[in-house]
Amino acid sequence: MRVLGSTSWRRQLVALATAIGVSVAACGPSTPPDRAVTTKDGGAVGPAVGCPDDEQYFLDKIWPTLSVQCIGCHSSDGLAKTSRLVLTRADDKATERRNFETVRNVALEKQGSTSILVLRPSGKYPTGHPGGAILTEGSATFADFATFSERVASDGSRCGNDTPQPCGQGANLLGPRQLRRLTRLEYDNTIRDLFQIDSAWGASFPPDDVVEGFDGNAAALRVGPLLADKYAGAAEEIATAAARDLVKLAPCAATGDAATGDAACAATFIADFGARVFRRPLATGEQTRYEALYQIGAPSGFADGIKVVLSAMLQSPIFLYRSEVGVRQSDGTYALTPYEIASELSYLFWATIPDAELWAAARDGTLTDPAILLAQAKRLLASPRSRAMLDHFAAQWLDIDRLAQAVKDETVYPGFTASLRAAMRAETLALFDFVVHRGGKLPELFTAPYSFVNDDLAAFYGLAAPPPDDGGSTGLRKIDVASAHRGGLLTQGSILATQAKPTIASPIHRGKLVRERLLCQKPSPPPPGLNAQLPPVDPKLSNRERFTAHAKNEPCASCHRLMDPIGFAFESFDGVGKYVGGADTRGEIVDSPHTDATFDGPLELAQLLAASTDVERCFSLEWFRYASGMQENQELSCLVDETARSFAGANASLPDLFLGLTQTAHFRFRRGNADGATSLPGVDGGGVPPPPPPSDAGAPRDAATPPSPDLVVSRKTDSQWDKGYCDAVTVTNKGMSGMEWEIILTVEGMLNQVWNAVAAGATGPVTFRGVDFNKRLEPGQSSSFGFCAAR
Amino acid sequence: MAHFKIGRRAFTSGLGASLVAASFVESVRAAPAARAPGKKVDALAAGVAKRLVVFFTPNGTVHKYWRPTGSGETFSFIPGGILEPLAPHASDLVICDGIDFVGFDNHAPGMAGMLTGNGGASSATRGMSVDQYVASNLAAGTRFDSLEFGVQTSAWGGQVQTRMSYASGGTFVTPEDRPRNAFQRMFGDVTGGDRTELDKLALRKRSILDVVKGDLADLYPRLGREEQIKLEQHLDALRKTERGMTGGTCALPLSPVDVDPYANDNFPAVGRAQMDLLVTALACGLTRVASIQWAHTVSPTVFRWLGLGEGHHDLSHKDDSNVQGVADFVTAERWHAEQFAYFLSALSALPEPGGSGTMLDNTFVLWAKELADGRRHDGKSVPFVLAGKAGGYLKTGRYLNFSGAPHQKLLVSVCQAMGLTNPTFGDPSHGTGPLDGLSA
Repeated sequence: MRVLGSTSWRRQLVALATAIGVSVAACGPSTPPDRAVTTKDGGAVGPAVGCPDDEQYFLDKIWPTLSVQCIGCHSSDGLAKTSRLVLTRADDKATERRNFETVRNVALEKQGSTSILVLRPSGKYPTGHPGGAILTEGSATFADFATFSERVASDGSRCGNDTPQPCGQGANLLGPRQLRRLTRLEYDNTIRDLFQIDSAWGASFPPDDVVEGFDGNAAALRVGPLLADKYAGAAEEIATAAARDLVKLAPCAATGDAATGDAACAATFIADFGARVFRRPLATGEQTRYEALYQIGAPSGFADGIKVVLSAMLQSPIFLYRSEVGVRQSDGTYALTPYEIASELSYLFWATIPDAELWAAARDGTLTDPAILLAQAKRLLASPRSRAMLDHFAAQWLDIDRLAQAVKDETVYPGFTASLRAAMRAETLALFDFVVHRGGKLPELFTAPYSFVNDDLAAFYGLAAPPPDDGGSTGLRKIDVASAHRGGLLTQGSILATQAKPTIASPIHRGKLVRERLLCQKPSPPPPGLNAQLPPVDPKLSNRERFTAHAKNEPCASCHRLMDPIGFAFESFDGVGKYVGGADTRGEIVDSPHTDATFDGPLELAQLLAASTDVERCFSLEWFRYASGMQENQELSCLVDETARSFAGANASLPDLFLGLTQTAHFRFRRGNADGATSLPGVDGGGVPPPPPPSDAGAPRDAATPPSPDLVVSRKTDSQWDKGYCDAVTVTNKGMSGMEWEIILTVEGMLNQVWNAVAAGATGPVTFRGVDFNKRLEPGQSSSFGFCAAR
Repeated sequence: MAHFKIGRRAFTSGLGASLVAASFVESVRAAPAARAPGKKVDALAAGVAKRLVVFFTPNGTVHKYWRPTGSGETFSFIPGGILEPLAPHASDLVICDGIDFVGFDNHAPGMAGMLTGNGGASSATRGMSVDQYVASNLAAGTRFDSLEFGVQTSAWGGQVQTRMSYASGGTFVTPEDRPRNAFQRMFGDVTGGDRTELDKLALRKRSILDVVKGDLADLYPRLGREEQIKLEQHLDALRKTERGMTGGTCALPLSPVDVDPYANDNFPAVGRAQMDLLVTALACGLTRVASIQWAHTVSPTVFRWLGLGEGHHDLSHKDDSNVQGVADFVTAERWHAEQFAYFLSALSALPEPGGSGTMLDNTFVLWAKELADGRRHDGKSVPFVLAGKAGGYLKTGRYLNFSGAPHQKLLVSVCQAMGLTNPTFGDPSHGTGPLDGLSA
């Protein structure tokens, strides 16, 4: 990609956005030309004028995806080099133009009424897409591809102003309103700080869903039956534990003893302590509801009344979800409340509830003042308590939490103990924390010539253990590691041992970590049908020689070239990260425009990464994912862009990046989103709400149009059994002009399912019409649909 | 009270679920919660399986060491091959050859498509996995609509590679990986005490739930549509929790030994405990739909207890010229077959509570994999093994070749075996209706 200034930045970020979140292969073996389509569609496309700004639309909306996800295979040396889509990495106007022309020509080819530019990468093409499904129907990228195809094929009448609006101070800098369910870590920290008791309840919950390596994605964090049960059990146990010290929970309990006094004290407790649990004052209705609940437990005593209230509060959605919902403003955006902002801050930096000072700033409303907000953010980040965030972010970013359970063969790697593994993990987190708290910049993470070790780890690295620190501690101490051939995060045991196998190192996995987590470029899994059988290992070969086999095999090479040559940098470290030396450590970074270079060894690689704007941009994206609880997408591109630009503007200062998000409009305001229903279905009634009826029963049309004589219908029974059958139907337009098809078929029994068509009627003669993507048939084209009926 | 002792031995020394559960059967309280049947299917109709169990193991197979010889009712397992440990159960099995994943393959898509029929939210089955679809359509009257047991499924967190069960399009159903937790969930509420005490407890729990639902209802209208869906799912989960408070259960067995569920070498012990709990849950009538998921696709499990040194996924990629590597993979796969055999033994040792035959006779057990040939990442002839007579639906003791039938047809068969009538499952464009020739 080109470097062009802020629009280019934005494109690249959008490209990253679309590159990620796709778990299916983007590479694949070359696509054989599909003869059926070529003949069927030959000359069928009408005069295409297109729109004047099609090329700009292409550059803004289509190229960012193509240049990251598709070009690996769709290039002159890629697996899809014989397909109709062969792209060139563009850095000049002429190449850019050529790519546009190529893509436009593909977009003009249709199967049915849909462009193959949409069908192929979304996996809907009859013969598939060897690279798998890249576009998800309903996604912004899918819509962009569809729009582009429509624009270029149009007669000039569909040229809306749908090129992206420039990023400004308006609503396009705001993310959506959302609920963020507490993660397991946040749950435990919250319980600890509410009740001053150690909590391992959260840790016992089923692991949270992980999106792009992080467990805080708001869309993925939901409550299913298993978790609801765990919440209920934990709430009971916590309430019981907490109620052992009633006076701490409810100071009024020390004095009141009469029954009325108890109820009054309970009401005070609900208002005061409840506000801490709910992270905001209770609404009147809530106060009433919990006071009534108190009465359920009260007959067994004040403590039981408090317990039942606490148990409910800890299962309440108000406690379990962090609210970023806000209040509607006159301009249609939503302003987060001071209490919401206080929680946003405290969970961001401390992964727990606001402390007294932050709470006070919420209560008096001053927190909505950006200056006060920034001061609070600085205070939280500077506090040692921000380790909660820094550790959690860094461990997930660098994928080192797997180290504890990674299997290592004791005969190959004796002495790789649990405590050594723990020291390695601690080392990485200590370096990260140190650099952040000294106000350091991103490059230092990769190039720091020092690290933090305990005696065990110093011995493992072949270093003389540093003397105990001033406090006499023999924990982790700062040490110069340059003499041990190390420097920066990537040469630390935690990463090297995690990205390795039980008996050998793995340049693939080490290179993949760099590619995915530092460059934000996700290599595709092996293409379907690729023979991924591994021959026996020749013990005489070096690790590099074994893996070089990838480079000789074209389908493998097209993706492994992105990983293995980076991983070779670490060949001097064995499968647990011990320095063994003597290896060829030359390697190369390719296909990452601002980073591409050759290097020798991990320290040179580190210098490349430290100087790379790709790495800088990727890091800001990783932070955005972690901190916002959102995965980047088209709608968030301005916000992601702003995060990256302010990071670049601050010369990659880590504290500035972390604080910067609190200074965005998004931190205090949200855009309005699709309106919801006005009441929760079925809370009062019993029974589970019925599933929505299948939307395939269309209303009969006013006047039945007789089926066109040009339509040829082929109907066959796909399957039948004792109680029903399913038919597959194909309609073909044999006429000379395009049409919207409609046919009448006799259905025996009762129709109970239809797909890719809409049916009017349920039995006997039934009229079928196409749906959006297949209702239009150009001459010679076909559409397929199916239905099932019970008998 | 004798069964308590049997329970202790079984759970602590791994004597075998059959003993445990057999003792529980006697104490099953057949007290299904009253529940509006609506259009739901009566799971107890004749000729219909009463239970569905999905048994998952990852990373595909090597067909030449998996395929039996012979065909139809005359077949045998290859000596030394993967399925040989199933020989004692041959008459209870249908070995399925030639069932394909059509239009998707590879690790993650295999995981996602295997039980959903590769159908999204817009399909007639709304993106649900077959276990969840069946569970939500049975008027089972059990405490749990379904129970999901995991064996080291979640070390990588919940994501497409580690989940197979879907509540709706894209929403995972999380398995419980810790036997002690699963036990608590199943039996945590079983307490003694007099009637008044129990009533008081029930009132308390219901009151708490009412308050929580009140909070949900207050929050709901303030949200956009996306977030409202979260709360709807949350409410649905609470309803299931609520139902879990009542209904039939067993006398309290002793809880399984609590080991680190994610330590590699505990894989066999955790798996055994989970299988025992699953059998117990079925025997006690806690649920009619359950799954046990062993690890996940691309799993790094090292079968050290068999003397193997490489991760399971690495072993699944050995070339034929790599004789030792392939042999190691077959060894690991045989071990999976042994676990499946143990599970079938446990179910077939238990008489059907209040009925005739064994529990296995009235159960549909589906051993599923997310890939066919692990070395090619493909979906051609996914090695499905079906077990149990499914209440008479399945004609067992056969080795069948379905010649490339899409696996959606198998999922339709599963539903129909459970008494449902849906004509398709997941994506209908590749295949509809049940498998031909599967049912009796």
